[in-house]
Amino acid sequence: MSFLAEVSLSVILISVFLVILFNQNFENSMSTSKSKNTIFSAISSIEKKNQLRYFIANDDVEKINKTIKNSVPNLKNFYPVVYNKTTNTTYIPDLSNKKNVYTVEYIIAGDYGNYNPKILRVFLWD
Amino acid sequence: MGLNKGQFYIISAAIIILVLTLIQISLREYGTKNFDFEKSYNINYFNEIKREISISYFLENDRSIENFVDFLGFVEKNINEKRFDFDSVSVILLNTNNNPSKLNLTVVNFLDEPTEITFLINSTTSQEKTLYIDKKQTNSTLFDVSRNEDYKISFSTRNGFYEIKLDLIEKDLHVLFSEILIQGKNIYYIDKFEKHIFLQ
Repeated sequence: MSFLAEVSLSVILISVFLVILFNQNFENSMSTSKSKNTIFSAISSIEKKNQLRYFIANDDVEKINKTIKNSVPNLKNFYPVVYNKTTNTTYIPDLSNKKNVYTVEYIIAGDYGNYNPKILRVFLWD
Repeated sequence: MGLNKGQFYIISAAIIILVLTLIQISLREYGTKNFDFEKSYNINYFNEIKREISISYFLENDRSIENFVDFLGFVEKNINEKRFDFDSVSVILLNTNNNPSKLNLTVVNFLDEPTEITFLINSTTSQEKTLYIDKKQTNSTLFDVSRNEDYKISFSTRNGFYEIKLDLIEKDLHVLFSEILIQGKNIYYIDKFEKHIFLQ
């Protein structure tokens, strides 16, 4: 093979390899953003039906879990945690061995008649 | 002396890797910009600030302004953690059965600097008052009013000119006006709301 052909071949091989690698990273990024949007829309929709606010204000993670599962049945890898102004008020799971962990948040001022600001942070992973 | 074959391969590969890394960074930026996720968060903040007055007002009237300021601080902290800026100017109006001839006006300044706002209320004798409010502070003043009359209060913030219309009747009236701005990289969200609550 001529010198030019050898150089061209090596460049093409590297390029193909890198494009495949970077495409996968791009798809992961888009997929994460899409999941975030889906979960946030679900939480917002549940809250509008007056189901979620009481559970968040009262740290009822079990009911929050169940409510989200009912609304997004295909969602498997998630765990909700409730925070007050300074710290978490419910258990935070160990996700150090999980891939691509990300979070979605929803803030409330409290339940009606009870000022009690909280953040619901839903941890998700692949 | 020209480059040998090996050097050509290495230089070419380095150039290709650099170009594709730059493409990848651009694609990642596109991926994150392409969703309205931050907009959804902003709507959550806005709606919850608006809802706070209903949540804390009825049972904790004497702490209603403190709770509102506290919640603005809570929201601001959360927004700042996401590396966005939160600015807000709120006006709270109270006319109560305990003091029916007075309208209490409180300004809550959640800007990053002190601000001065002039309020004009239309009445038989025109009243105008200017309030200076330090950053992250409140300040109040009183207007003379009569029940069963309508009033219009006008004022300007750095983002707009506003008018609040009031119908004073034989009930406690609480009005909350809030202008909210959330901004950061690729985000600029501004909105306002006005809420009137009558109590027995």
